[in-house]
Amino acid sequence: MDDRFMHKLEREPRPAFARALRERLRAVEGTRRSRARWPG
Amino acid sequence: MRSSCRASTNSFRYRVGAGPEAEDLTSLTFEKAWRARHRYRRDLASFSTWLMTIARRVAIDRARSLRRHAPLDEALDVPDGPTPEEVVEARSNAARLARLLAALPDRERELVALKYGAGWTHRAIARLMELTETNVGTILHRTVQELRAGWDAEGGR
Repeated sequence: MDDRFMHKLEREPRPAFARALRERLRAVEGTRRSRARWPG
Repeated sequence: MRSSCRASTNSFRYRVGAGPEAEDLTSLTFEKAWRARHRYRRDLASFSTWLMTIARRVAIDRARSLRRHAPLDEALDVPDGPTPEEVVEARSNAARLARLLAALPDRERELVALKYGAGWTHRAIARLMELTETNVGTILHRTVQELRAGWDAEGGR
C-alpha cells in the first residue's frame, strides 16, 4: 500500500527550537551544578 | 538528543497537528524527562521508549485538559476569520493530513504517531501499547487505508 502521503507531517526540528530546548533544560534547577547528561 | 527531539516533535505533530503546539509539548516532555532522569532504568527500557512513555502521558493530559475546557473555549470563540497565512497553512498537505488524523479515535492516532512520527517498529509499538504485533499491523493497515480514502477525497498529492 502506498503510504507516502503519511509522511507529510515529518519535519526536522527547527534549529532555533532545538537551541531553545537546550536552554530550557539548562535552566532547570540543578542542571548547571551537576553537569548532568541524558541517560541512555 | 537530536534524534530523540526529532522523534518526539514528529510524534506530537501527528497527534496535534503542524502548529507550534507540537514543539511546546516536546519541550514539556523533555523537561519532565530531564527532571525524572534519575528514575530511568536502562535495564527496563531503552531511552527512546522511556521518553515516548512520558510523551504519551503528556499527550493524554493535554487531551483531558482540552475536553475539560472545551465548553468555555467554545463560548469565548469569536469568529474572526482566518488570516492569509492560516489559509495557506490550511491548504498545505501537512495540514490536510493533520485534519484527517484529528478525526481518528485516540488509539489509532497514537499508533500512527508512533509509527510515522517517531519512526517506531510494529514490535516496539506493540510493547508500549500492550497489543500484539499482529494487532498493531492490522490496525495500522486499516487506519492508513481509511486515511488514504480521505486524502484522495480531499485531492491530496
